[in-house]
Amino acid sequence: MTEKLLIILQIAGRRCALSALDVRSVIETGAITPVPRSPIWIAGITALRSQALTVIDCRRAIGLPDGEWPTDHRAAVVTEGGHSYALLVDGIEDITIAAGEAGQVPGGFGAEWSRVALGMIETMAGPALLIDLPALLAGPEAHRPEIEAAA
Amino acid sequence: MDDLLAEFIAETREMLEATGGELVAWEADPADRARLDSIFRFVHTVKGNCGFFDFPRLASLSHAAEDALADCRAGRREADEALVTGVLAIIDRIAVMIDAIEAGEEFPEGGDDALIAALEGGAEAPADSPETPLHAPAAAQLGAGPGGGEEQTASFRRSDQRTIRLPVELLDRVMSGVSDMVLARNDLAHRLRQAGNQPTIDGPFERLTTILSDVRDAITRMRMQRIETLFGALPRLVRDLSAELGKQVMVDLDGGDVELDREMIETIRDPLTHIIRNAIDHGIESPSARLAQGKREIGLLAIAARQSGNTISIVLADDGRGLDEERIAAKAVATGLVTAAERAAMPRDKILNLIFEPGFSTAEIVSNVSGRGVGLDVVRQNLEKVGGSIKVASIPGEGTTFTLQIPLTLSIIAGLTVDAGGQRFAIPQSYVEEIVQGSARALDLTRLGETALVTFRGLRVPCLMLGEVLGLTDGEAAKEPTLVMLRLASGDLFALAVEGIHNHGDLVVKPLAPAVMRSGLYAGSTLLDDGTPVLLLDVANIAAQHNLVSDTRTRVLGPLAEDAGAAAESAQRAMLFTDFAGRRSAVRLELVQRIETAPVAAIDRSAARPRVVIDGLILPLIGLPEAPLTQSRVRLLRLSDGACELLYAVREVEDAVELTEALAPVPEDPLAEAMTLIGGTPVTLIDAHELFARHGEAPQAAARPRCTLPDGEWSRAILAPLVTAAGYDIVDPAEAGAGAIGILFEDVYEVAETLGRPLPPCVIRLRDQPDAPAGAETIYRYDREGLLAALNAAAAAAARAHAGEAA
Repeated sequence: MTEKLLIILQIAGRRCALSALDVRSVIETGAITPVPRSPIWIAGITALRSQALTVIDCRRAIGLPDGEWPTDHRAAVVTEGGHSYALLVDGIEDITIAAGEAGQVPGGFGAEWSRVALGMIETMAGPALLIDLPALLAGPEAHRPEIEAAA
Repeated sequence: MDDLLAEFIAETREMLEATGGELVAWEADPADRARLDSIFRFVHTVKGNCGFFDFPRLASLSHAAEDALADCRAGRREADEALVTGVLAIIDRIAVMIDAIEAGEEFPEGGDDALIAALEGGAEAPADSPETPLHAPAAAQLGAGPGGGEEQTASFRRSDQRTIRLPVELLDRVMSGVSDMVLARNDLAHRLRQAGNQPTIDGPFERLTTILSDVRDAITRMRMQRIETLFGALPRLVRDLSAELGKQVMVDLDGGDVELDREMIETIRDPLTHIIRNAIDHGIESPSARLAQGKREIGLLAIAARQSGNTISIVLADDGRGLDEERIAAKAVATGLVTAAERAAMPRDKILNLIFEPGFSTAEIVSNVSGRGVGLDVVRQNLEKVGGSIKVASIPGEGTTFTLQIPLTLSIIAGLTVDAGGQRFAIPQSYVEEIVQGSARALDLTRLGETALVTFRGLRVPCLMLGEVLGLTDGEAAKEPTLVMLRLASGDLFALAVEGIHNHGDLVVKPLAPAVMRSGLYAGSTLLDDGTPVLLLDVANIAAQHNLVSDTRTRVLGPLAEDAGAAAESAQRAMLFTDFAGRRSAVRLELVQRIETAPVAAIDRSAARPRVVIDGLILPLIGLPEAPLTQSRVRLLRLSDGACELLYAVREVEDAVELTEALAPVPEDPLAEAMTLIGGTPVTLIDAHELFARHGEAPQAAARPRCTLPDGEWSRAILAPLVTAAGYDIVDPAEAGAGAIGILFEDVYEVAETLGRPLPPCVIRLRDQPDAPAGAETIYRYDREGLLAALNAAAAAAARAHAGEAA
C-alpha cells in the first residue's frame, strides 16, 4: 500500500482528516469580506494573493448547530471543481500517514457527520474521520431532504 | 487569411493527435460506439473546415469517411475491419495533406479515389490484399510523406507571423503571477510612502511600476481578444457557402468590439460555423422561392455580439423560411426522442429546441455542407462544456434566431465601486446610466408599500436600496442617498440607492464558487488595488428578482427623451406652489422654465407693473402681494410660452406633481383653468392662456438689450467681454436701432454733442480719470459696479420707452 498523507484537523471538537493531496496550502486568514445573502456556512471571500477564495466555515458546512468552537488563525486551501476554498476549522494539527483504509463503524457517525465523512481512518495520530471534500463543500442544504426523509 | 489557415492546420493537427489514440482503440474494438462518435466528429469538423478553405480533395476524403461512419452510427453497416482500415487510411492521408498545406506545397495528384472506393466497396477490396495496407504504419508515413524530408526546411520558410499554441493553464499562471506582482508592488508603494522620500529607491521603483503596468497590459491582451477576429472570417464563409448552394446571402455583423477570452473564442468558433452553415443550407430559401414569397432575393444573416454583465450573447438571425414545427415534431417522434403524447403537450418553443438533441436532423437531402445531425448536438455540447447555452426561436416564413449565451470566465470590465452597509461592491459600468446625488426630498424619494420610487427626469423610477437588497441594512434610506441609475438590456430603468461611490476602473472579474453564485446576487469577484476582494453585483438578476424587468415595464419605463411630446399628453404634470395670497396653486410643468431666486431689491416697481432683471433680461413680474415683502429674497417661477417669458412670484415652491384627478372648471375666476385635487387637497391650476394674454410681453422686450461700444483696442479687448457677460448684445453703431445703449468716451461724446451729430437715446459716458469732474454724468472706465448699474438703468429706460411706444 502506498503511504497516504493526511492533514489532521479539529472540526467542532472532533478529529478529522483531509487527504493531503486535496490541500493546496495552509494560509494565514487575512481579512474576510462577508458575502451578504449567502448560506450561513459561507464565511465570506478572502484574497490569496491575486486569487479570491471562498471561505467555508466547516462546522456550519457540516450542519452542526452553533457551538463555542475556537477558530484557527490558519485555514486549509483546497480546490474543488475549479474553485478554490479556504476551510475554517478549530485547529490544524498535523500531517500524518494513514495506517489503513477508511472504513465504516457500526452505528455510523450521526446524520450530519455521515454526510461529509468517507469513513473512519486509522492514522499515526489515532483514529480520525476522513472528510469527503465535495460533500462538505456542497453544504448542509444539499442532503437535508434525504436526512429528513430518513428521520 | 494566413493566420486562419494556420489556425486550421494547428487545430487539425491537435485533433489528429487526440484522435490517434482513439483510432488505435477503435481498431481493436470496432463496436465501441463512443470511439466511433469521436472519430466521426473529427472527420465532420475537417469536412466543415475544408469547405471554408477550398480544399476539395480534403473535403471529398472527409466526406467519404463521414458517410461511411454515419452508416455505422445509423446501424446500416457493420464496423468491420475493412471499414476501419479504409477510415484510418483516409485519416492518415488527411494528416499528410495537412503537412503539405502547411509547407505550402502541392500534394501529388491521385490516390484519393482509391481510398474512397475502398470505403464504398465494402469488404472486398482491402481484405483481399492485406499485404499492402492502405494506411501505412506511422513510421513509414513520417519518412514517405510528400515533403517529408523537406518538412523542417519548409517550416522555417513560413516566418511572416510566428505563433505558438500554449496550454491555457500556463497563461493563467503567468496572469495570476502578474496580478500578484501588482499587489506586491502596491504593498511596497505603501511601505515606501510610510518610510518617506528616498530618491535612490524612488527612481527604480517608478521604473518598476511602469514596466509592470506594461506587462499587465500585454498579459491582458494575451488572454482577451476582440470577437472581430472571429467575425472577420465569416463573410468569406457565407459567400462560399451561398455560392455553393446557389443562394444569395448578405451578412451583417455587429458588436465586433466585444472582448472575449481567447479560449472562448476558440470554443465558439465551431458552433458559429455550424449554425451559419445550417442557416444558409436549410434556413434561407433559394432566390426564386424568396421572390415567390415576396421577400428580397438576397437573404439576410445578421450576427450580433453583445456583452451584458457577465455573459456575452451572440445572436444569429436569418430571414429564411423558419423552422417547421410539425416536421421537427414528427422527426422527434419517429426517432423516439419524444412520444406522441409528450409531443402533444409540448409548446412550440420546446419542440423547436429539440433540434439540439443528439441524433436529430430534418434535412431530407444530405448535402456536402450541412447536416447529418451532428451539427447542433455538438454545438450544444461544446457550449455546455464551458457553461454556456443555446436556444432557438423561429417564426414560420420570417426567419430563425439562434441565441448563444457564453459566460465570461474571466473578463475585464469597466466597473464602479460603491458602498452599502459598510461594505464595498462593484457594478458593471455598462449598466450605469447616470449617478444622481441629492437629498431624499429633492429626489422625491417616496415609499409606497414595500417599494420605493424616485423621480428622475420627470419619471417615476423604482428604487432599490442596495443595503436592503443585500440584507445588510433595513428600514430607512440615508438622508442623502446616492442613486446609481441603471439601465437594463431590456430598456428598463431603475435606481439603486447606495451610501457612496468610490471610483471607476477596470476590474478583473473572476468566477465565484457555485454556492455563492446560487444567491443570484453576484456575477463574480474582483480584487481592489489593495488586494481586498470585492463582489461584483449581478445587476440584471437583482432587477429580475425584484420584478423590475419586462412585466412592470410600461409603468416604469415611461417615455424616453425622444418621445417627450407624447409624454406631455399622457401624463400631465404641474408645478405645485403656494402663492403670496396663501392659495395652493399649480401651473403646468411645461411652462416652467426654471425656478429663480432674486433679491427683493432687484424688483423694479417704478413702472406700472413690476419687473426684475434676470440674466440681463427684463422680465415682467406678477403674483407679488400688495404689501411690501418682508423677506429679503423671493422665489420666482420663470414661465415661458416659447416666445414670451414672465416671472411668477411665489411664497413657496412645493413639488412637481402629476395631474391625475379630474379638472373642474372655475368660470368665476378668469385666471384659473380649473380646480383639481392633488394629494387630497384642492389646488387651483393657473390658466396659462389668460396669464400670458394679460401679462406676457412682446418678444422684443424680452430680447437682449443691445449696446454700441466705442472704437479701439481697449473697448474690444476689455470692455466688450464685460458688457457681453452682463447680458448685452454688442452691435455695430451703424446697425444699432433706436433702443441700443451707446457707450462712449467722454471726449467723443463732447465732440459729437458740440457738432450736433446724432447720439443714441441712452448714453453711458466713460471717463479716463478715477475722480469725477464736477457736474458730468460720467463713469470711470474701470468702475465695474457703476458701469453695470448704468447699463441696467439704461436698459430699463430703453425697455420702458419701447413699451410706451408699443402702447
